[in-house]
Formats: sequence, C-alpha cells, structure tokens
Amino acid sequence: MGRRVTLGFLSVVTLLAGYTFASSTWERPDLLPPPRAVLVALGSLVVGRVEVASHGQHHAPVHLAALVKEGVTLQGALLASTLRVLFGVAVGGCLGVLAGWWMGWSRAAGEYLHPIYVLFRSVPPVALVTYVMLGLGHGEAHLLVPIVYAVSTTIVIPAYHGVRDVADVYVRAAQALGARGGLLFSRVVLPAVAPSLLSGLRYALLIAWMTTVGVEMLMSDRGIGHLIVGGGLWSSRLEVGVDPAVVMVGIAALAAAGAAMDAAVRVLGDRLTAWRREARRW
Amino acid sequence: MVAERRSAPVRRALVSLLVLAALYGVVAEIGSRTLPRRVWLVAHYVEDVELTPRYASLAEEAVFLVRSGILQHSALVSGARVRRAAGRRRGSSSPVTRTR
Repeated sequence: MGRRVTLGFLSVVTLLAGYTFASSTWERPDLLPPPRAVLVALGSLVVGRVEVASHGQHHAPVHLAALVKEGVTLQGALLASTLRVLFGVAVGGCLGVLAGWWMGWSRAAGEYLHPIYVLFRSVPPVALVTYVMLGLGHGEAHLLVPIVYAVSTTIVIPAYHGVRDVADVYVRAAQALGARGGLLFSRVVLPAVAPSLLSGLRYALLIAWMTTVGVEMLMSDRGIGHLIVGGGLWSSRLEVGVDPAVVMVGIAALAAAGAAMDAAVRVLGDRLTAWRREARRW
Repeated sequence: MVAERRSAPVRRALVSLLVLAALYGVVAEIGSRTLPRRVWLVAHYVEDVELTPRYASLAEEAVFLVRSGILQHSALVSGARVRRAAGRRRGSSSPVTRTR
C-alpha cells in the first residue's frame, strides 16, 4: 500500500516536472501555459476575483473576467459537476443494474431485451441534449438525462455478465446444497456479482464525468465544462476568448475529482469484496 | 428441435423490436395530439415542432435527408472519424466493455 502511494506520488511529480519543462522549452503559452499562469488562474478562480494583467496574455482577463462576473468559482463549478455525476451514477446505476440483472437472470428477458438495449446503447448520450431540451426545456433535466442514460447503458453489461457468467456457478452449487430465496440472494448471488458490478461502477464513473463535461460544454451555466469553455451562454461563447491557463485548471480539477472518486470506489470495493482475499488464502 | 431452439432468440428479438415499434407508434399518435407544437428553446420559440413525430413525418424527413445526400454524407464523415479513432486504438481493449 505504502509503495503504491509513493509510486503514485512520484508519477504525479514527474508529470508536473515534465509539464514545466515542456512549457518552458516549447514556448507556446497558447497551448502549454506556464505553471505560474495556471497557478494565478487557479487562485483567481478559487477566490472569485480577477488580478488584471496577471500574465501577459491578451485573452486571459476576458475569460477569467467573464467567469468571475458570472460568480463562477472553481469549487462551485466542481461541486455542480460532481453532484450531476453522483446523480447520474445513483439513478443510472440503479436502472442499469436492474436491467442487466434481469437480462442476466432470465434467459427469455435477455433475448427479448438485448436487441432494444443494443439500439439504445448505440446512441451517444450527448446526441440526446437537443431533444431533451425541446421536451423539458433549458434547466437541469437536459444535463441530467444524458448522464443517467450514459451510466445506465454502461453498467448493464457488467451487471449482465456478473449475473449470467459468474453467479450461475455459485447459484447451482448453493441450490444443490439447499439454499433458496433471500439466503441465496444475500449470501451467494450478491457477493458473487459484486466484483463485476464494482468494476463496472468505476467505468461508469468515468463515462459519467465524460458525459457531464460534454453536456456542460454544450449548454450549461454552471459546472467545470462551462468553466472550461469560458462562461456565458452557448450563443455568446464564440465572442469570449479562451484562456489556456483556465482550461488547464479545469482539466486538472477534472483529473483530481475523477481520480478521487475512482479511489473511493476502489477502497469501497476492496472492503465489500474482502471475502475474495480470504477465499484466495485457501 | 435444435433448429427451433436456435431460432427462439431471433424470434424473440423480432417480437421485442416489433413491440417497441408499435409502442412508439401509439406514443407518437397520442403525443402529436397532446404535446405542444410551439416550444421555447433557450432564447426563442421554435414553431411547428413534433416532439414525438409520427412515422409519416419520420419517413418524409428521411426521404428529404437521403435525397439531399445529407444523411449519407454525415454517416460517411462520422464513420471515417470512428474508423480513424478505432485504427489508433487497435490492440487495446477493456475487460469491462466486452459485449455479447
């Protein structure tokens, strides 16, 4: 554990050192803003105040000023995006697990539902934004529906395979030993499916973040996607210059939030499936 | 007997797709009578919107998109992008994303 943390820390430090080296040697601040500019943008976004002429870029004050004028802060944007992701994972995860579980448990249900599932999963979540906006207006729904949809279609497969492939072996053995009903479900099926579901959940979180940022960039007045594209409504975004330092802050915040959530699910998964380590010892 | 068992998934798939198509037809009929045709979108109203278009409207729109070449051109452009991206990623796959 300690070794893994040390190596992880070293890899992040190496990445930061490599970025600093590349930005100072390449000298393209429009693509790789210097670390100082990124830190200034980070400070401005955290305190919600712009330091004018903070770094010598033409567009920087415009982008930051537009965000600060709207009352955008990094922590506020991150919180808005995180809540959307969590909502998508909670609702979409439940729907996806139920659908996958049903398809995996019942052969007939699997054969009936699979073609419909294939049709739905082929539609990219962001493609739903305009249609949902037409139906439900410009609120939260047009952001949340694509995220819920993305998570649910993603988590169907691990739930389906978990129930059909993994649990089946244990179920037959437990049934042969006389286990039925609630006992069979809580002591056999659920623990057997849990590893597959948890790995699916980690992947679903990734998809949820991708979809959230995508829909926020398209049409949102809050969130990290909105922060990255420069604030304002969709129609006025072309008029707002984009500061690469702000984009870099947004990307770093996304990376940190995604990594933190992934680590949390991994730790939770390790605790919930501790029986596997015990089983391996035997 | 074996052939019958093999055809069952295909039959069930067809049944589910037909049921889905029939359900959509019913929803489209009800929706076209009850849902609003004038919709507020961000900063202006959009007129004559069918939120659940009937099959006739879908067919009409599809004919227009095919005759104008928009549909084929869009599919070709998107397909080429997917092929390029898939070409770059060839050889890497995630165990979680395996499909049936």
